[in-house]
Amino acid sequence: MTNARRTRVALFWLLVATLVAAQQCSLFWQSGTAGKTSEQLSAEIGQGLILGFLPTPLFYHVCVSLAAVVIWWIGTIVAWPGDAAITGARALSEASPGNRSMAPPGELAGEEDDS
Amino acid sequence: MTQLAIILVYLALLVVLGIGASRWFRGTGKDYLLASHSIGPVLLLMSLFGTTMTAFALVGSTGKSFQLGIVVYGLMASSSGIVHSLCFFVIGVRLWQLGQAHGYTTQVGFFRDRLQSHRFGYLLFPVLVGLVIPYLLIGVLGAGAVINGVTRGAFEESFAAHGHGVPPWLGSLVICLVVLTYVFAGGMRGTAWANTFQTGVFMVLGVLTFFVIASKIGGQQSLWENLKAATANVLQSHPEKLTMTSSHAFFFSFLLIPLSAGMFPHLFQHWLTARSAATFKLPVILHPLFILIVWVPCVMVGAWATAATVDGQLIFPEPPTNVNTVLPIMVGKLAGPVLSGFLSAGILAAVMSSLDSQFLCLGTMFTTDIVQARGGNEPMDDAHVIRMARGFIVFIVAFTYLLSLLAPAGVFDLGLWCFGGFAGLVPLVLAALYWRRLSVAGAAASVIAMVVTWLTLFFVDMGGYPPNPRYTFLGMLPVATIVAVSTVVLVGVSLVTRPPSEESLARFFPTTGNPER
Repeated sequence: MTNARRTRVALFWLLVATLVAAQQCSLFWQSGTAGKTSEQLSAEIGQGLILGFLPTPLFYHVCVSLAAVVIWWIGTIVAWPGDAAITGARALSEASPGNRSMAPPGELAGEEDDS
Repeated sequence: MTQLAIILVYLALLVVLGIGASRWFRGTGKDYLLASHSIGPVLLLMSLFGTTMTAFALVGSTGKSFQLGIVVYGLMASSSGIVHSLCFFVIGVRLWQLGQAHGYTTQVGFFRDRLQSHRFGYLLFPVLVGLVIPYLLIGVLGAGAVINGVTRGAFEESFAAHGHGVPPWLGSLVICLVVLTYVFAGGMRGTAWANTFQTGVFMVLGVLTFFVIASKIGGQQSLWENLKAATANVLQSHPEKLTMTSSHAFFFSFLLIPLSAGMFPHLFQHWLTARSAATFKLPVILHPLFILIVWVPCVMVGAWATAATVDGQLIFPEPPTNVNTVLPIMVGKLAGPVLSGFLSAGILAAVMSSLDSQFLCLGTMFTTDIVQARGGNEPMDDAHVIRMARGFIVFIVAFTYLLSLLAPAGVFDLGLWCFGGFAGLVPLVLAALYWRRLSVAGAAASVIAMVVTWLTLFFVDMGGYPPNPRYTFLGMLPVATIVAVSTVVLVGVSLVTRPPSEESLARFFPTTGNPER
């Protein structure tokens, strides 16, 4: 992997970490509902309705979901694991005779202590 | 009766689709189980999404939103959008590459080879099957609840105990039989086709449901005004349902639940059907968007249901004893009979698009991991393999169906326990793919630790669902403890036991010691 690709991959994972932090962010959570009357709470929430029907915290999480689409799209361009390992997979394919999962007990290499 | 007729026509259509797919069947076990690795990006996107969106997503999310409000989207949907794609990206692509290289059909096959231990398969197999059963139960219960909810009042003389609708036991039974029929006829190809068809159906009809229910609740002229009016009703009587509030630890623990996708056996099998690694790109990108399209309407409908009225009467004057019925009852009460029939078919589509993959996967696991693995070097007849697969599927489905007749929990709560167990196995698959030092002893200890922790929390701590504090452990969902224990045990035991041989590792970390480098 070249240094440029390594940097791009690191930046992508930094973006993913930021996305997770944003998803966990409590910025729009309701605080201190205990002391409020239903009317007070209703008026407070009513002021924050997006487009008149979508509560702000829900709208925020919708934005997080849309941001996830963009970030995963970036990931498929700059950090796609399929590109990096395709040579290795082909090498494995040539080295491997067939479906190892069907091998009977004792046939797997190094299993002398396990079957 | 109209609803029931539409549902029956839809079910018949699915059976025809499965039989149609069987015309392309190539007559081999590989084609039956993996569709000969021929699935392209769109089919993979739809089948992966359809498989992960179960009754949990539609019926469960609406019912839980009725109880807790819109916080349900933050707890499960936005987190799943991130974490599911992460699983496809980090686990799915790598497993597909190794599956192509070594010809795996199941997870157990991969772990046996990676850990050079046949016995490990016999440890992992029952654990996976044991966790799939509650997952199946989610679908079976959801299907029964939906059919009962929308047919209430359809039979004036019969089924009084079930609101004069189709009893849940009968609805669940019919759905099991239909899914079995098209899975048996079409195998993985039929399942992928049915999944794609059904995912399209439930997404379109799900959005339609949202707008129809909004217009009936709102009673205004324009769609916009209806959406506003539906929310305004909740604002007046249950404003707390439109808020998000939670402890940070509790909210964080929900982020671990979608990790379970990394170890779903049926998802593993779907990954292996992909035509190439690049096929995964579309599912990785669009999965969060698809989740948004399905979950936002369900969560809003659940919140609206708390204040929804018909002819001036509240639809739910008291919270229903079975919250699984909130969505179907809303559909049944607010949409006309024809539309309600179509919308119910859409909900059932979501349920069945998961059940089919799980049924097929169970058969694959049994024949590959147990029957063929014990069969020695003798090649097995494909027809015999398929017969064995079908027999095991029928056995597990019958067992699950009988469990559904007992008094089970809501599908959301059941899902959290089931997904918690699968999430506890994710450290194992990550270590197998990216950590050379993982030993067979570490892997076995981790699986045992997961099972013991799960059982301990389940039987000692089980207490329903928040606000019941007994459900949480250390202020978090049980999944947090399960994942932490299985990770610590995996690392600790691996470090003090014999590492795998270099020869074996070379097959999994081929070039520079790490396939990613």
